[in-house]
Amino acid sequence: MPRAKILVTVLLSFLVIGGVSIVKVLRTPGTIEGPLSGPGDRAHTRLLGDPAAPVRVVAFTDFQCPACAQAAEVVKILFVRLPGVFSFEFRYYPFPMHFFSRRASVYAECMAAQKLFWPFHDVLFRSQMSWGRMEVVDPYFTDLAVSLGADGVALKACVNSGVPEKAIDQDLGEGRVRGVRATPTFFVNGKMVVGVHDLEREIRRARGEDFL
Amino acid sequence: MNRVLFLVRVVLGLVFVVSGLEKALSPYENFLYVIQSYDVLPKTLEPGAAFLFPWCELLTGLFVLLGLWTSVGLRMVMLFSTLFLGVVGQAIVRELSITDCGCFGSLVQLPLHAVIFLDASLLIGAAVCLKDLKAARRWSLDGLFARDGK
Repeated sequence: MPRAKILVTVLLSFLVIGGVSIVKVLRTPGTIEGPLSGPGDRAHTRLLGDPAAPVRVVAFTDFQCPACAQAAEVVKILFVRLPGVFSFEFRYYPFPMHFFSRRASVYAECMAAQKLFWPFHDVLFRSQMSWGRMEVVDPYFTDLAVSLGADGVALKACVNSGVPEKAIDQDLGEGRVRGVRATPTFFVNGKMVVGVHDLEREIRRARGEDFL
Repeated sequence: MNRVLFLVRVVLGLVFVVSGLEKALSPYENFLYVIQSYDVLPKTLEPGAAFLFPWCELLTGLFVLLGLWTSVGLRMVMLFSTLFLGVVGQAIVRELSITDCGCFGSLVQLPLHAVIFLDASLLIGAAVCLKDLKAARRWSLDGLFARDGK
């Protein structure tokens, strides 16, 4: 076995692993560790729980993703199991492959303007499978919003104003910078947790509980 | 035939390089989520697999692409493809709610059935290259070292 070949193999491996690691660090210069924008940086709050709670969970979510619907249920359970421990902030992260997710986010943001974000959020996730298969979603979202107590005229004006799009793009931009590639992605006191599997453990860990 | 096998080797290498690179550059938590979604590994092994796997994929792809330790690299491609077929196959059988395979990070999103086709093609491609290794080693570092060794 020629020594030169082994030397090239070792050198190449080190170069690739080192090079990619450096690029990875340069691509996300401290962004994961840096503070996320707060609820006050948004036009309308999408916050659950006490903002002064010791653990802050920020969730990048897609209304049309099945895992996000499951995660929404898990978060509700965690609020019961860990009362007062964490606050929960919602961020829009609609993927283009989910055709109606962005439209759902637009309506959700307009519902946030009327302080009806969370009821709308819950029904959207519960009925995800039905509206996800519709050909046109606007009449459904409008009826749903009005049935939850929204002002239909204000809702229509908001949906057509282009303002919700800015809020969605703000969330998308923040998520991209932080390396969000899948939904739901949570940041538990700044630590990235993708999927709901480890969410409870990370919340407990952030609170200072020992976990084995 | 030589050129065809050379091209097959390059394509195999590129698929693994792109796939490994995307995962290695992405935050580790993203691939951990993919592994957790398939629900095949014990919980304790998932973080280690999520950390190591992208590098193995990247280096395998690079070696196959450059033709360095081609035979070993192609066998690794076969091993990975068989592994993927098994993991994705069980996810389809168990009807796990996975909409995107997670194979290429956010670069390309493939449904599970398409991945079966892709992995089967990779497996066949690597097997064909291994069968005529001499042809597959055309324009390779292995060839260069062999010439220098004479």
